[in-house]
Amino acid sequence: MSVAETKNDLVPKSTVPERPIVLRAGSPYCIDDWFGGPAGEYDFRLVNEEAAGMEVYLQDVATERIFLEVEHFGRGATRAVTASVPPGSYRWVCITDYTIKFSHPVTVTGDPLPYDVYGITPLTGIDLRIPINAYVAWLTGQLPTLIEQLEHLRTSVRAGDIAAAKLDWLTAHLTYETLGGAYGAYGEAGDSVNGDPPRGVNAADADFAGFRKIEAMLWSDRPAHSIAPHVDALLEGVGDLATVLAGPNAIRPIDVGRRIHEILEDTLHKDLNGVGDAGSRTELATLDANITGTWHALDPLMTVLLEQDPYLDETEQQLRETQRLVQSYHHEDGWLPLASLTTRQRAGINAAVQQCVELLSHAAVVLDPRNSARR
Amino acid sequence: MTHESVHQAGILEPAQRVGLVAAFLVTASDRPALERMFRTLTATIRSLVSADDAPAGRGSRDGIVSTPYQNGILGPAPVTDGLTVTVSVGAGLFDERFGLEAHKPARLRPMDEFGNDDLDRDQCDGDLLLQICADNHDTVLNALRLLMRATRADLQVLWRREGFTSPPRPSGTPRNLFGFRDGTANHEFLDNAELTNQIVWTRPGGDEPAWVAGGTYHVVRLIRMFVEFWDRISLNEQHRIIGRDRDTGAPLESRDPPIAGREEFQAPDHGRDSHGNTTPLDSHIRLANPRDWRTEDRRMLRRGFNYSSGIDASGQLDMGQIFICFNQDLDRQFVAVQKALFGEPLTDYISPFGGGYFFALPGVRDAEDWLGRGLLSAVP
Repeated sequence: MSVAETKNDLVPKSTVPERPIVLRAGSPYCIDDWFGGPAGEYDFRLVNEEAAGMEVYLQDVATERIFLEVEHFGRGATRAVTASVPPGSYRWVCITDYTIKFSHPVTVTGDPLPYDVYGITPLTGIDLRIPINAYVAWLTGQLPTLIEQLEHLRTSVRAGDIAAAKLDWLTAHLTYETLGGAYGAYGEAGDSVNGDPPRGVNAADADFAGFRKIEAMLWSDRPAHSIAPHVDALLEGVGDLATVLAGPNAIRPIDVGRRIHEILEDTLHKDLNGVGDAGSRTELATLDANITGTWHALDPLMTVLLEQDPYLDETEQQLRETQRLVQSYHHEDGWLPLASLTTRQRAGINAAVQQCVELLSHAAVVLDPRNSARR
Repeated sequence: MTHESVHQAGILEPAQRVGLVAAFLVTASDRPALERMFRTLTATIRSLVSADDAPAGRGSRDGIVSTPYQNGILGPAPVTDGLTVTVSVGAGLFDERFGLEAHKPARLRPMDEFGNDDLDRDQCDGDLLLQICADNHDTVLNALRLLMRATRADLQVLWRREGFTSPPRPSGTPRNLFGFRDGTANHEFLDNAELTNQIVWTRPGGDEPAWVAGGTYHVVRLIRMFVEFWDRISLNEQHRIIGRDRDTGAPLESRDPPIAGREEFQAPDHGRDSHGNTTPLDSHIRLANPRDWRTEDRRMLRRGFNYSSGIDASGQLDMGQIFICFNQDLDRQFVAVQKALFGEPLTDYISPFGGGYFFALPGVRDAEDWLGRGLLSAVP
């Protein structure tokens, strides 16, 4: 489905005020300026009169889901917010560092809106800790496999068996590519493991480290003995990665939602643009591994997303179809190089991956850490 | 022109200040997805050109589970800003994928490569073309972004180019980057409905399918203009090459009396210049239209934009024209003129490198209608 799937968009607008409703947030009851009206789309203009930063929610009393939020709402600030409000009983919630205030009841009346409106239950940083820990545990559990695969690579390189080393390299690289190391997620450790080749120079000669350096040397027939030290360094880099993951804030609550679409955003910006690959021409294998990595990032969040992301089914279906499409370019003798695809085939892959990240972006919105609206 | 009409907007109106063409491959997987894409395009265009609420759905009025539908570049309140979006289809849509082979407009095909062309096939053709025009650049880019986002899974951009229309300098038809007024001849028929019908709108019947009624062949040509080279030839030479006066846009000869400020609209008349002593026989306007009754029916509606974009490896400016024209019959008009222009002296100074042949779909007739309905309904 696309962003603007056409549905009946007749809103009972005549009964909803045209001008923004001004709401002053800060009274003992949070907001005293609006206690309801007909269901529909409202333009509010909020003014923070609390003399402190706060968050403001419009919360459905029964479900505790919020249908409007004002975050990062500092002292003296005003903010325009548009919200679709279905019929129901609500309350305003104003949260500061030291207090939480609830308004008198807000009653929104009328027939259900002719389109679907979804509220969310705010997730706090604490709520996200359990899925984060599960994800980090999974990542950490992959490292022994990665190390073992790299040791295979080291053995082949030391034996001077370049053909075997190429296969070992790909196996290990694809394992790493499932670990979600996009957009500098693992800092310097990530760079030393999987940094991109520098621009405009021969990657085999360039001064950089990690998978891509080894790839460049393997695929430009450099002597095995010159490659071996780079494999040793890579193994060390993976050790550093283990240290990073063992840290208390290896993945912060704010990172969780972003990570879910960032993995494939990175693939889109780099691999699908032909950036990164240093000779193996395994861009599509990387994409496949990145999709797998996205599944693993989603996995510990499924319970939350099942409740909160109305597009989860569609997202999963899109990911599955995209992975099936990508894997159709994997044949007995390996992965087709990206450059060997026709323009139409590439457009098909690009469209599928782009739709994946569009759909995954909903998870990021839902998983944004917020303050709890509970007392 | 309102959005609901027999014809699409963005064809007969004077060109807005900014124009963009983007050609797409349709990546929709099947017929239902194709129809969904056309319906989504239509609904999104409706909301954009009327500055109305976006259609409700994923990302729009769906609560707080989505990133904002609006990207913010036009500020909080939508504006119309003279926006038109014209949707045209290319020959690529009529391959075996969607079962539309038998319903292709008869003349539609991959763009011909003419003798003086140097086509980069990566910047040619496509399944679908969006022509987006408005009074300001941000409005055009906003429309492009929203339309692409709304159709993310179903359309992939293949090539695109942005251009501008210069203001009248000092009056009359806007100038191209060679300094000449370009498209003067449009005025000869645009206020004459009967002539416009003969020149612009394609007629069903014969080898054309019924659904084409209200549509038109939409030709886009990306033409590099070697402006530095051009600036190094004399004004006399420029006049000889084009066949018009650069300052006024007037033809070099006419039977019409000159009216100050409206010289460009004097009708060219080469009746007493059969050897080309005044207007060379191989000048651009004389080859394109010798003003001979036999060639009246190859006139076309011009609606191009200038482009300017970066430099080439030898340090010369990459500037030129997004040539756009609309034709009732591609072969009778645009192609015939291109053949007539073969070898004209102007070809040394220009290099067509991209573009495509498209067919602008008929308009949407009412609130329930959608672009492409006629085409898709033609196939059971």
